[in-house]
Amino acid sequence: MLLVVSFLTYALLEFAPSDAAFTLLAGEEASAEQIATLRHELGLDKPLAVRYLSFLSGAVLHGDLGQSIMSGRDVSELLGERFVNTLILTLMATVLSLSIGTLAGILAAARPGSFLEAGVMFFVIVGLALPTFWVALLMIMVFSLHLGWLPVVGAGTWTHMVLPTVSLALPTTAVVARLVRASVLDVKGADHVRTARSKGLDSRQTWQYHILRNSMIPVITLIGLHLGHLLSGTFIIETIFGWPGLGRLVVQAIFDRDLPVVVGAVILIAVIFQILNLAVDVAHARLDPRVGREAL
Amino acid sequence: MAIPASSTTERTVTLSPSGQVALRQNVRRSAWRWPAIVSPQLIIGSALLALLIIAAIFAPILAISPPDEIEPVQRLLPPSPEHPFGTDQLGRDLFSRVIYGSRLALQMSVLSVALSAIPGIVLGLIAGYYRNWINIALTMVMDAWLSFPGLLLAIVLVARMGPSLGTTVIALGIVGVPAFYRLVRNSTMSARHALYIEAAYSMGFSEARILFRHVLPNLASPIIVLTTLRLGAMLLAGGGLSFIGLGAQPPDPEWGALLAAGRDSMGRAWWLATFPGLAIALSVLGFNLMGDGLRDALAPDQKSRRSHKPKVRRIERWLAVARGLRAGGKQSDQQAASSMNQG
Repeated sequence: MLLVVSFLTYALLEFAPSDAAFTLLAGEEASAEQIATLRHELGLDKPLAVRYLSFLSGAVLHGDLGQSIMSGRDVSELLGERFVNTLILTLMATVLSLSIGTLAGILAAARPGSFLEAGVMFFVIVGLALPTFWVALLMIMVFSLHLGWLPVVGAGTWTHMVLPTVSLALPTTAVVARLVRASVLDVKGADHVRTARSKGLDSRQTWQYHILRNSMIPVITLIGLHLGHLLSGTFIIETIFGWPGLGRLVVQAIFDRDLPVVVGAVILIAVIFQILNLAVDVAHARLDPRVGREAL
Repeated sequence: MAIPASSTTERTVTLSPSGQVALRQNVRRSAWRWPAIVSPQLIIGSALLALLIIAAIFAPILAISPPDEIEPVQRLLPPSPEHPFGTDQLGRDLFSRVIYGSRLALQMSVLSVALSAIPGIVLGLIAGYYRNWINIALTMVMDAWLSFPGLLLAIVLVARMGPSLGTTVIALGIVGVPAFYRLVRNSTMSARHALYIEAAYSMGFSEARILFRHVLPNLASPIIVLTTLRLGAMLLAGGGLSFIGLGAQPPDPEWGALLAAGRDSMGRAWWLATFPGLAIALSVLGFNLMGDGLRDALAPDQKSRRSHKPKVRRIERWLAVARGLRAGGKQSDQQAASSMNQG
């Protein structure tokens, strides 16, 4: 895992100090001399491997990711404060999509062939096709501009969180609902459920202990993997709603060619993604004893 | 856990009663394979896609005016018979721009999927067929690749190369390689032991010929399904990148870029932030429905699952039974191993 992250770090750093970074900073009319001085100041004149190693040792030993070229602040500090905001948004969206998606999926699977199921499946198909940024725009138009219920952009009160959370959660909700439905249907037809019923368990007990428990295993896997997608989804959502999170920071940094910030943020997200993957494996092993015996 | 793709042979080598039942089920399944092809999903999906393709091909005929024609007098007009989708800040007809945008959308998704499918398929075939250090090394690289959120990787690549439609295509293409690689590798690994491969090998065909003339055609249906679904996903991702300014740049009537431009004046002109998004949504819906419909049509025994069973001809199946009887339980172990790799 560390190897992978370090490999990616290297690959990312390889492009990081592109010439545009400092020519832009020094302005169009900067003389070659000025640029050279600046390059030296920023340490960009050293060979790639040297830069990578010094960066790596700084990052690993001191948690130091360098300074932002635009604002001159420590990247790690900047990332820290933005990350909290993104985390709040992502967690809210996760909770929302998990609760609604799971509920919808279970209801759809419990009554196959009903209108409810058809409705859920329709929602799934549409939810997967709608671009989040479009939904976000439509919601802004309806709820903020026409009805005036919610603020358009910014952060602060809970009202600022409603629209970003909902639009971020939409595709994930659809994915969760589809998966839960498929998984519950799968487990419902399994032998052990028939056994449970035939030994006289009532419907509630069967569902609680035999169906739901077993059908949640793939959901856990999926959610872990989907958190990464949610994190990248925040790039777009945060840009639309002016949410001061990681995604907006990175997009802004790309436009400003503030590469230390981009590299730092990407590494941070990559590390989080790795941790999530690991957490998924562990949770999977805990929930499903068979996996534990085979894989660990 | 996925059902092993060549489960037919596996089930028949065990001579237990359940194995025989499974075999009979397989034979029965193949009887109702074809009627299931036409589904509502497939019809709606192909209709939507036909609309998209017609719009792209006949854009000059369908469009009311050239997409870049500026008429300052007609700024921000609401939808009317003359301008079905209204006009934008510069008086350009939004309908014409959306129509021309379909060309960009198709180009973007088709090119980026081609960029990920071709290397993904070739590498997947090689890794799945040889199953030695090549397989291990390639899979490690691809896993590292996949362990990165896709959109983030695309954003980083765009940041490196500078935002434009071309870089979006390249970035999305690179991001998509592992998806094809995994599918093709897993299917190849399970098709590897099929009788027709053995037959081709015994006839002295070269490995390249076996891979591309024998293995690849048998993987056609899962690849087609994945390609269709990826086309929709790429359209969505490309629109998103353009929307935040990292994709197609403003004068281009790309749908995401149109939405981004419409965002500033959506208080006054709702149509600017509505119709381009509708176009994206309907196109993606078309690709998704088409993909799901094709999946069900091509593999009706594994509805809504991502793994696929290569087509095994009935005669081969019976030959496999005979071979399995001789081989005893050895083969089933192998199959179990390959199915574990799949999961």
